[in-house]
Amino acid sequence: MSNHTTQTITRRGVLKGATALGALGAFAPALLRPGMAQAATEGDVLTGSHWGAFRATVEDGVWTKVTPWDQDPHPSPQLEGVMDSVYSPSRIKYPMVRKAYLEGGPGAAPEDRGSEEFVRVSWDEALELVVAELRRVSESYGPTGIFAGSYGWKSSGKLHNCQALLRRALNVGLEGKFVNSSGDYSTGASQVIMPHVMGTLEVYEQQTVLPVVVESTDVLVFWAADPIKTNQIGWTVADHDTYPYMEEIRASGKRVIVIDPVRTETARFFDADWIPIRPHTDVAMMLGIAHALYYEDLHDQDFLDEYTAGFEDFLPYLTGESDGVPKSPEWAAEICEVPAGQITELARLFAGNRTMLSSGWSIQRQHHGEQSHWMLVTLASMLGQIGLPGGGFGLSYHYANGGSPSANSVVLPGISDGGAAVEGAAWLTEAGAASIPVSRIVEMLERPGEQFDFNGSSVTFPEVKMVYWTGGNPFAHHQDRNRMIKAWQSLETVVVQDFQWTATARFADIVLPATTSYERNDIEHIGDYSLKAILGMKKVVDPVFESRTDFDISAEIAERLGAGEAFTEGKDEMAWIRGFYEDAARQGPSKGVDVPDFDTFWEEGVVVFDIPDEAKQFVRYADYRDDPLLEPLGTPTGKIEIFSRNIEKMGYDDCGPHPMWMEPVERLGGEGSYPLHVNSGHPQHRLHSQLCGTKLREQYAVGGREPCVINTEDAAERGIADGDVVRVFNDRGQVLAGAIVSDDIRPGVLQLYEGGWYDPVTGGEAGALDAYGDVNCLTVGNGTSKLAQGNCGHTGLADVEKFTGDLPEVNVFDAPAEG
Amino acid sequence: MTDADRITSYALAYRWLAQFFLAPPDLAMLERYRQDEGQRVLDACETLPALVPVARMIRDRTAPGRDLRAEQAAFRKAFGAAFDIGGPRSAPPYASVYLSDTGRLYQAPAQEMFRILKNLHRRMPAGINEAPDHVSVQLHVAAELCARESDGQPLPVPVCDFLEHHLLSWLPAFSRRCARLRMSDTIGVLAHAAAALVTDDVAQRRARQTQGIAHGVRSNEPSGGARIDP
Repeated sequence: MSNHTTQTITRRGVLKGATALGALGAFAPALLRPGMAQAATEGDVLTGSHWGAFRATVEDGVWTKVTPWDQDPHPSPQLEGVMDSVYSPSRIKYPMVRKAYLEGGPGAAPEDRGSEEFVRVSWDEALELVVAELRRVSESYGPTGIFAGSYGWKSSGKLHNCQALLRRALNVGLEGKFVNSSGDYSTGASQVIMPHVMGTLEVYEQQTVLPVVVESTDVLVFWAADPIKTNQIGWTVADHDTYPYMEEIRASGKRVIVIDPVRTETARFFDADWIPIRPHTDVAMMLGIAHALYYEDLHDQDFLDEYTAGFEDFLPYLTGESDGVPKSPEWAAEICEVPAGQITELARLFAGNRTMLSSGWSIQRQHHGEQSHWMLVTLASMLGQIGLPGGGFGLSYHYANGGSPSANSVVLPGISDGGAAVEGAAWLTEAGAASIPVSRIVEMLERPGEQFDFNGSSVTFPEVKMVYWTGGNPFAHHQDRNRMIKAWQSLETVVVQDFQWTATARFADIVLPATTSYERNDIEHIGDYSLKAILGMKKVVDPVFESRTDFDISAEIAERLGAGEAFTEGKDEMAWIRGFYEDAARQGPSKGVDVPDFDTFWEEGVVVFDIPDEAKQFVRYADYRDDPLLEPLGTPTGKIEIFSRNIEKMGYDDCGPHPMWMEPVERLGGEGSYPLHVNSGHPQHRLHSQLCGTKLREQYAVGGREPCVINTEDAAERGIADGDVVRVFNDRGQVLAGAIVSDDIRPGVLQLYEGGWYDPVTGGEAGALDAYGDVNCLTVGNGTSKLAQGNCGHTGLADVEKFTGDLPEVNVFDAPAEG
Repeated sequence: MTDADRITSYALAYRWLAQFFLAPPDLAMLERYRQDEGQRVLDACETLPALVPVARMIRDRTAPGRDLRAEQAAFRKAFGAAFDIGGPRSAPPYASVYLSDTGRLYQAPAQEMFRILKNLHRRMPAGINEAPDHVSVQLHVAAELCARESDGQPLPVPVCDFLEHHLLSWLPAFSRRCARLRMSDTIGVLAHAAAALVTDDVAQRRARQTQGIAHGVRSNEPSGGARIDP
C-alpha cells in the first residue's frame, strides 16, 4: 500500500468518527477524486472561426489570449470577442426544460414562452423528451409536422455542422419526415432572380479578382456595399485577403464612389465620393442612369445584341413608351433624391471609364428586392464591360473576401445531411418531406395548409407543430419580432440547441447546451473564395459545464431513434475529420498539389496552398465574352436575360418580366406613415447577433444599449442629443437605443444595426418595449415578392423620440431573468 | 475540542455544506434527515454556530407532518432559480463572476483553482462538470486541505490563505446576492452559512496564530501567513 493511500485511509477514519461532527460523514460525501486535473491543452493551439484563424493560449485550463494567425493579413478586432463568448454569463450550462412544458407536456402554455422559468434536467431526460416528441409529432401530424430547416450562421467546421447533423439524424432516424427550408436571409431575392438572369447564383461566385481591379478598373462603385466592414467575417474561416488589395486601390488614387444612405466604413477608408441616396430607391436611380446612357447614346448596343436577351422588350419601359413614364434622370431624382445632373454625370463617368459596379445585398433584402440586382446587371450590360478586366458588376466583393485570388487547393467534403443535400450549396437543399423559403417561417405558422407562390410554383404551407432550431437565432434574424412571437405560440414544441441563451433559446421549451467551436475538434478551409489553406480546428478547452458537441447530440438522438450506426457510420469525431482530410488529399495528384498525410497535417495544424499567377488574372465572364456560343450562360437563352420569358409566364403582379421600379410597401417619400427610414445594416463589431454578448459591446454601446445613428437635423427637431436613450417605434414594435447624432447619415434615416439581442421588458409579451435594441422589432415581415419570397429586412419606417420614462435595465446579456 | 478535532470538524462541515450548492437534496436525503441518523447529523451541525441556521432550516422542513415531496420541489425550485440558468435574478456560484472585472466565467479564480487541484493531485469526478471555482469545489478543496493538515501532509497552499484568498474574497458578495433572491429563505441561508463557516474558521486560525497556542497536531500553516505559490 502506498504511503499516499495509507494517509488517505487514516484521514478518512478521522473524518468518520473522531469528532462530534463525525456523524456527518455519511451525509458529507467526498467529491474530489485522486488524479491530476487535466485540460484539453496547455500553451498555444491553432484553430479558427468565422472571424479568422488564430492561436489560442491556454493557461491552467483557461483560455486567456487570442493571437491572430501570422498569415492573416488583416486580423479582425472581433477575435477578442470570440474568446469572450466562451466564458459569457449567457452560456447555457445544463439541459433545461420550460416548467409548464415539463409539467404539462407539449403545447402547455405556449403564451408563456419567453417569460416562464426553466427547470434543469439530465441529458438523458432531455433527449428522451426530444426523441419522444419527434416520434409523437411525426406519428400524429405526418411527415411535415416537424420543422428542421434550422438556419443561421452556425459555427465554422466541416463536421460539427449542426444544421446538417440535425437533418442527418432525422433523415436516418425519422426517414426524412421533416420540413426543410431553402435559400437564406442574406440573399433570398438575388439567389432566385439571378439564375433567371445570369444562370448562376452570382452572389456566392468568385468575382473578377482584385489584382485585376487594381490593374484595370478606373471607377470602382460600391453600391450599398461596405466590404471594409463586412469582409471581417467568412462562412468558413475568414482569410481577409481582400484588405491588402483594398489598400492598393486606395493608394492608386482610383475614383471610388459609395452609393449609400450612410457614409460607410468603406467610404471613409477610401475617402470616397459619397452619394447619400434615399433608401429603397436604388432601382429608380439605376433606371435614371440607364436612361441617360440610352439617350446620350453611351450604351453598348453591340454588347446588348450579342450577349443579352430582351433589351428591346425592356427599352419601351425605360423610355416610357409602354407606360407613359420615361425613366429619366429627372424622374429618378424625384424618387431617389440624387440630383438629375449627378445621375447624368454618373452615366457619362461609367461609360467613359472601366467601371466595376460592386453591389452589396441589402438592396435585395427589401420589398421587390429582386429588381435591384436585375437592374444592376442590366445597367452593367448597357455599359458593355461585363467580361472585361476590371469592368462589369460584382455581387460578392463585400462577402467573405470575394475577389481574393483562389489557391490551387484540394477541397474538403463535409458531413452530409444523409438525404438530398446539394453538394457544395447545402443552403439550397430541398431535402426533407417539404420545404419552404427560409424567411417564410412565420407565414408558415400563420397560414398552415394555405397555398403560396414561389418562383413559378404553387406551394402549400405545411402544418408544423414542432420546431428544432440549431446554429441560428431566428429571434434576431427574422423580421417583425412581435408578429413572430404570436406565431410561435402555435407550436406545441420548440427545441433549441445552442451554446448561449439567445432570444430564440429563451422562447424554447427544451434547451440543449452545445459546445462552442473551441471545445471540440473540427476541420475547415481558410478563405471562402481563396481556399488558401486547410486548418485543423483543434479543441482549445474542454466542454464547459454540461455542454456536448453537436455531433454527439445528434448522434445520440439518431441512436435513440434506432439509427445510431447509420448516423455515425461507426466513426467518432477524429475519424470523421481524418476521413474528410483524406478524401480531399486524394484530389492532390490530379491537381498537382502535394498534400501531407493526415497525421503530419494535424500535428502542424494547417496546410497552405499556392496561389498560381493565373488565378490572379481571373476575369469573371471572360470566357463567355470570348465565346458566347461555346461558353453560354445557364439561362434559357444562354445569354444575360434582361427580359425573362420564364418570369413572364409566371404572371406575377409583383415581379414582372424585366427589371422595373415598383413602389415598396413603405419608404421615404412613398407609402408609410412614419417619417424616418430604419437602416438595419450589418454591425461593425459582431457577426449578426453573434458576439453581441461579449466585451466587444463596450466599444459601441451607448447608454448600455444598441447605438442608433440619427442625422443632426432629425435629432435637433426632436430635441435628441448625443448619448440620449431614445425610443424608436412604429406600429410593429418599439425599442430603446442610445443616440449617436451624426452627419454621416442622410436626413430622414436612422441606423440601427441588425443583430442586437432582443430584450423585452416584459418577457414573452408581443409589443413589449425592447430594452436593448433589436431592429427587427421594427422591420417588415413580408416576402420580397412571389418570385423569391426573400425577406424585407431593410424595409421599414419608424419615428424616434427621447426616452423620458424610467429606464429599464438591459438584462439579456446575463441569462434569462426568469430564472 | 482539540485543534485536530476542530480542523476535522471544519473539514466535514465544508463537505457537508458543499453538496447543497451542487444539487438540491433529493427526496431520499430529506427522508434520511427525518430519521434518527439525520437528526444526529443536524445535532452535530449545530455544534458549529455557522451551521445552526442551516440545520434548523432542514430540521424544520423535514419535520413530521411536512410534505417532503413539496419540500424537495421547493429546494429544487430555489436551487434552479439561483444557480441553473444565471441572469440578473440569480446568484452564480462561481468566484470568477465576483472577482473579475467583466463578471465572466472561467477567469483568474478558475485558473488558480485549476492549479491548486493539480497540485493536490485531485480532480472532479466524472459526471460533475463544474468550473473549478464553483463554491462546492472550493469547499471540498478546503476540506481536503484541512484533512491533509490534520494528517500532517504538505500543503500546496496554506489553509488559512486558501480560505481567505479563494473563499472569503467573494463569499460575502455571493451571500449578499443570494439574500436578494426571491427564494432567499433557502439559498440565502446556505450562502450565509458558507461565508460564516469560513469566516469562523479563519478567525479561529488567526487567533491561534496570534495567541501562539500550540496546535494539537503538527500544522503546515506558515506562521507568517506568507502564501506558498501553488
